[in-house]
Parts: sequence; C-alpha cells; structure tokens
Amino acid sequence: MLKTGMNMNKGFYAHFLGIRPKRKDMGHRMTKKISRRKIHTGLINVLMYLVLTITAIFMLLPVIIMFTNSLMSPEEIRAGNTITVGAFKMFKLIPNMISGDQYYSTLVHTPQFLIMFWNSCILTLPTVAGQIIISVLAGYGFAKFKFPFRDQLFAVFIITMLMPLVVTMVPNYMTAKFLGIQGDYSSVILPGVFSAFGVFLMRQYIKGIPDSFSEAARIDGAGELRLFFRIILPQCSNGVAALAILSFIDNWNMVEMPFIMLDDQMKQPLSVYLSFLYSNVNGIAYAASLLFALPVVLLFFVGEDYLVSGIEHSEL
Amino acid sequence: MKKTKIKSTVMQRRQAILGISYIAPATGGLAVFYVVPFILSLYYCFTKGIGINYQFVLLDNFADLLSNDTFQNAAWNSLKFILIGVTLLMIVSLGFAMLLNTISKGHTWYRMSMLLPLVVPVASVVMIWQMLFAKDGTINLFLSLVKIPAVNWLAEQGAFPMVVLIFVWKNLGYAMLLFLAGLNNIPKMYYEAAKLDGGGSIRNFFSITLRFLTPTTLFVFIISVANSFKIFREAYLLYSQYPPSQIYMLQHFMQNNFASLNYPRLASAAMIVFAFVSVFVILLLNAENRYEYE
Repeated sequence: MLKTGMNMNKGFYAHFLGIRPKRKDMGHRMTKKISRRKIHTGLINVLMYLVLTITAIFMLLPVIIMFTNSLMSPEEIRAGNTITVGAFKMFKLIPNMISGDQYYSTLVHTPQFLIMFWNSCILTLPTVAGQIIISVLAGYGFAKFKFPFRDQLFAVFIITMLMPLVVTMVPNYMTAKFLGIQGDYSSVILPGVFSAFGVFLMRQYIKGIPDSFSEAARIDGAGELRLFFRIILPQCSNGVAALAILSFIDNWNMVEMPFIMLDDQMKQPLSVYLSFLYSNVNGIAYAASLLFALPVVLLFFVGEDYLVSGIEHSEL
Repeated sequence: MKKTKIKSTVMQRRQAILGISYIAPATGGLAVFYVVPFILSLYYCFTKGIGINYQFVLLDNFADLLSNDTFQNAAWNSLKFILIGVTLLMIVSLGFAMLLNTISKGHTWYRMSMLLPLVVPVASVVMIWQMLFAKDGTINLFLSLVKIPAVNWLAEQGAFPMVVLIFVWKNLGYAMLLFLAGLNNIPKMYYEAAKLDGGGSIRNFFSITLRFLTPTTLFVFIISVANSFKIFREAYLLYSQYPPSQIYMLQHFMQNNFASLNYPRLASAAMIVFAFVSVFVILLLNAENRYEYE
C-alpha cells in the first residue's frame, strides 16, 4: 500500500536525502488529524473527557502515591500512612511534613543501593547498545533481502520471543558455564543482546522503508556498505529510538536472569534488590523505588516523541 | 504491489549472500543462547530421576505430565488468561485510541499518562498495588461509593480479575499507541468516499477502520501475547510461589519445578508449550501473508 503520509509534505527527494520529519513536525499526521477531529456536542464531549481523565488518574495513581510517600519521614510511615474512610484505608496523599529523610537514608546510609544501581547500569546499557546494533543488521537482512528459508527462520525468531524465560534457564546456566562466563556480567548481557524482540521490531520498521530508495542508490552505483550507512541507517533513527527505549525498560526491570546467573550478591542489579524490600518495614522502600524508576521515566519523557514517531512510521 | 524483477542468478545469489551475512550475528547469538539451550533441554525430556540415576524413559514424562492435575490447571489458566486478557486489552485499547483521536485538546498529556504504567518498574509499584487492592483498600472504597460490594482482590475469587486488570493497566498505553498509529495510517479518502455514498458511522467502522487495521491488529496481538507471558513477574511478586489456584499459570508450574530441581518435568512442560506456540505462530504468519496483498 502506498504510504501517502511520509512523502506528502516534504517532497519525494527530501526523504531520500536524509531530511526526515523532525520530532514535533509530524507533518502528515497534522493534516489528517485536523480534518477528522469533530467538535462533538457538549454531553458527549464531557463524557469522553471524563472517561479519559478517570483512566489517566488510575494509570498515574501508583506513581503519585509512590512519589508522595517517598517524601514522608520513616516515622510518619510507621505511624500510618493511610487515612481511614469508613471501613477502608486510603493512602495519605499529602505528607504531614515533607522530609528528605528517606532519600538521605537511601543514598547515604544504604551503600548497597548505589552499588546495585551501578550494577543495573552495567547490565542494562551494554545490552541495549548491543541489541540495537545486532537488531538493525538483522532487521535489514530480513526485511530487504531474499534468501532461502528466510521466512521460516524469522518464524523461529518469533517463537523464541514468545517462549517464557523459565524454559531455557537451566540450559542457559549450563551454556554460560561451558563458555566460562558463568557468574560474570556477560552471562546476563549476552542473552539480552541477542533477544529476538529487537529483530522483530526492526524488521517491521525497515519493511516500511520504500524499496525505491535503495534501488535508486544502487542504480547510481552505491556500494552495499554506503547504502547501509548513508541511506538506510538515517531513516531508521526513529525505529532505533523506539527499540532503545523499550529495550531499556525491559532490561532495567529484569529480575529472573540476574538472580540465577549471578551468584555474587553484590553483583545483583537494583531490580532484584527492590523486589526483596517490603513496604513499611524498611524506611527506604518508597524513595528507593522512586530512584529506581527515575532513569526509566526520564528516558521516557525525553524519548516519547521518538517512540511515537518510531511506531507510527513502521509498517503496521 | 508485486514487482517483477528481472535478475540474473548471479545477482540473486549475491543478494542471498548479503542477506545471510546481515542476519548472521543475530542468528548466531540466537542459536547459542536460545536454540542450543532449548535443544539441550530436550535431553531432560526423555529422562527421569535426579543425580546419577538418570534413566531413559521415552514418552513417560509426557504421559505423566498430560495427566497431571496441576499441569492441566496451569495450562488451562494460562490459556484462559491469554484469551480473556489479550481480547480485553485489544478492545479497550482500540476504544481508547479512537477516543484519543477524536478529542481536540490534551491529546499529548493523556497519551503520556497512558504510557507511564509501562515505564514504571514492577518492583516499585507492587507494594502499592498490595495496599490498594487489600480488603480494606482504596479500590474497594471506590467500589463502595458505587454500591458494589467489596472484593478481596488478593484472595481466591478476586485473583484472576486482578491479574487481568494489572495486565490491561500495564499494556493499555502501548497497545493504544500502536492502534493510534494504525488508525492514522488509514487514508482519509475512504472516509470521504463513504460520506459521499452515505455510509453511517457503524458501517464506516466495520468496513473501513477494521479492515485497514488488520495488520496493526496482528502486530498488537503478537506483542500482547508476548507481554502476557511477562505477567508472571507481577503475579509472582504479589502472590509468591504458590498463588491461588485460579491464577496458577504455566510459568508458576515451571518455576516451582525449577526450584524443586525437577528438571525432566520442567523440560517436558516446556516442550509442550513450545509445540503449541509454534503451531500458533505458524498459523499467525500464514494469516499475515494472506492479508499482505490487501
């Protein structure tokens, strides 16, 4: 199906030369949307906004609670961070006294927090970087080249993606031992790098890039390498951003893999540590959770536009 | 749009070699870290016993497993969860995508707030979930305002709806985003043509919207099913190893077998799951191919 959107507002050759829609300028979307947005009658409008707002609050509620509770001092939490309404208890949304106690305890008094934070970084960042490289290469291969058993091989990738992790945990441990990397960070990084999800995403994305670009480049005599680096890669940037964000989220949260592969307690990432903290027992649970969520949320805010463009421009 | 290619065999071969070299690193890694371990676990499928008395028992493991009550319960729960959860998720997210498309203000804010649950780490919110959903928790408070009796979400009857709710809560934003993208890719000329021909909005929905959303729907379906396996983490954090029987799923089964070192059972269960997933994926890809030349 001809993609009317991408070429509409910038001219055909603009895209070919690498000028792509900037973050906020989602050109084709604007034209389509304005013509389709009707100003509904009052009641329906109010209803729609009501549904959306209630849902939005429900989505945000745990985060808000986490944030406000992290500002309470541990004594206040122990005294009770709930208000009783009739027979029910509800979280206090406004702390009696805003105190940075929890944050102070987490960052200064709990050394393993920072150590494990650093472990999380060590595990996540190389995984994301490696996954991007491998997935872009493989996605390009699957999307634009024909070779025997291509579709069957891709089906294997999808099947791997759908298999629950528990299935291969024991053999993974043995493989890591065999390769001599068991107990090292790489025993967790390497399986993550080769995860099939990235290949799936990039293949769908690169499939959406029209063939005419590479054909034209080939006719003009560009070699394969130049084709890849100058033509395909710049157009992938949105898809790569989407993959980076999703992969970061996934890997920052992983619990089972490091728990099994890494014997050393001090090598565990923060996600594992947090899952052993219980709410009011430790004085730092809420602040720790917030600090743990912070990098992901920040990345999300920065990259949301790229994420949305990346998804929008893939061949869905 | 089928292209007629006039290529010589040399070019075809060159293309094939190039393609294979592009996918080589990914395939190699996949083989080493996913396929080979999986094949290795085949070994466990056909043996029984712990330690040095491994004996070869051919299909006993599978027969044992299929007649095992726990396994049947786990398999049925997993299937039920996928069917109900994924269907619900797709309907709700499509609804929200269409809703978001028609409002005029605040589009970005709503979208961002919908995506936040995906971003926030599970470990952070689990304890908040526990308190929200306890018998005397906030959710029941709101329910009582609307005169619905309180449900103990963390116990037997409430467990399954709760897990479905968490699944939808977490994945609504992403699925909605995918549907939004798909909706925006439908050329508006079809809607205009329908308006000229006097089509009503319901007819519009089924004949135009749904029809052009088919590839998107397939994508959302695959991603949602993949994510539904990940619900194990939330369920495990909330209910620990032996949850109420309504939500005891295949991953719980395999995890417990893993913990009790019962590798043969674990591997046989994995094989059965693998068989089902493969059939499912093959059917799905065939369906996708049929719709590709729409």
